[in-house]
Order: sequence, then structure tokens, then C-alpha cells
Amino acid sequence: MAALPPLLVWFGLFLYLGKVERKLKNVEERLQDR
Amino acid sequence: MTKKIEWDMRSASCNELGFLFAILTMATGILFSRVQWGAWWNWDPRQTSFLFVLLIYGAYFALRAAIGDEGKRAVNSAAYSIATTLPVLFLIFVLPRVLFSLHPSTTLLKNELEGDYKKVFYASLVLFTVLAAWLYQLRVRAGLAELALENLNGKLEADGGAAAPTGVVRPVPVSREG
Repeated sequence: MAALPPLLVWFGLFLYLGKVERKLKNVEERLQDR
Repeated sequence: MTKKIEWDMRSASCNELGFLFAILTMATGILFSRVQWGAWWNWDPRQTSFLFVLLIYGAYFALRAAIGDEGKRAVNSAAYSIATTLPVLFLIFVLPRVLFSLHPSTTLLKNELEGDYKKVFYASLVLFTVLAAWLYQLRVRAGLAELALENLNGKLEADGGAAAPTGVVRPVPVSREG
């Protein structure tokens, strides 16, 4: 049970990075269209 | 030897991440030191040598900030990175082992980690490695996109200064005085 908070932090961090990655991909695609 | 600015961006990205993780190491190390030894800081050789590593990282960014020309900045940053590699390795792997230190140095080699320490250590090793690799590729892709955008702006300017692709509004002279 004590492992839950750090695991949640890691999960949140990876979730956030996934979001950043999608935004970046969007920018890359728009750049390629130019 | 390559003179592509892309490699300077990659090098700077590595240094940024190195600096970030070094600060995290220092911050969590200070907390751990308080719990284990009862002191936030006690000038242990490992602590002191790592402080120098942080200063070396900091100086890299000071150097970059001080040089305006892109090409000169890239060459000087690369030279600085190469010149500091050996001193940093010495500070991390040699000095704390030569001098007396409260930090144990053979715990991993002799497999002396136990219980929760062992679990947390190996889980963190894997997670932080994945995190570093992920952050590095994100940072490099953002840097590449930035370079591509600069190229695009340069091309547009060469074609007579059409509107920038990012929606930037440029001042347009509407009348000429005199």
C-alpha cells in the first residue's frame, strides 16, 4: 500500500508526457505540410 | 567532424537533462542524508565532488548564454563538453573512492541491498532510465521542429518576406517619412 503514492506520481508523469508527445506530433505534422 | 547545428542542439539537450537529473540527485540525496545521518549536509567527499559536477553543468549554460553567434556557441560548447568529460568522471567515480566517505561504494557489487531498498532501487533504475530516454527524444524532436521552423522563416524571407507560418504579425511600413 505504501508503494501506491509514488506509483501514482509515475503514472501521472507518464500520462502527462504522453500528452506532450501528442502535441509535438501535431506540430511536426503541420510543419511537414508546409 | 560535423558542423551541423542539429548536433549542437542534441548536445545541449543532453546537458539540460543531465543538469535536471543531477539537481534531482542532489536534492533527494540531501533529504536521504538527513534521514540516514541526521545532517542535511556535512561536506562528505561524495557530496562535495557532486557539488562540483553541478557547478560544471551550470557553467556550460552560462557559457552558452554568453555567446551570441550560433556557430561560435556550438564550437565552444562542444569544446567545453569534451574538456569536462574526464574531470566529471574523476569527480563521480574516483575521488569519493580515494578519500574516506560515509557513502558505501561496494553495496551493489556485493549485492548488499536488502528488502524495500532493493525493490525501490531497481524499480527506480528502470523507471528513471525510461524517463530520461523519453525526455531526450521529446526534447530533440522539439528542437528539430524549432530548427525546421527557422529554416522555413528564412526561406519565406528570401522569397520577399511573406507572412510567418506561426501566425506572427510582422510590422509593415505603410508610409515613408521624408
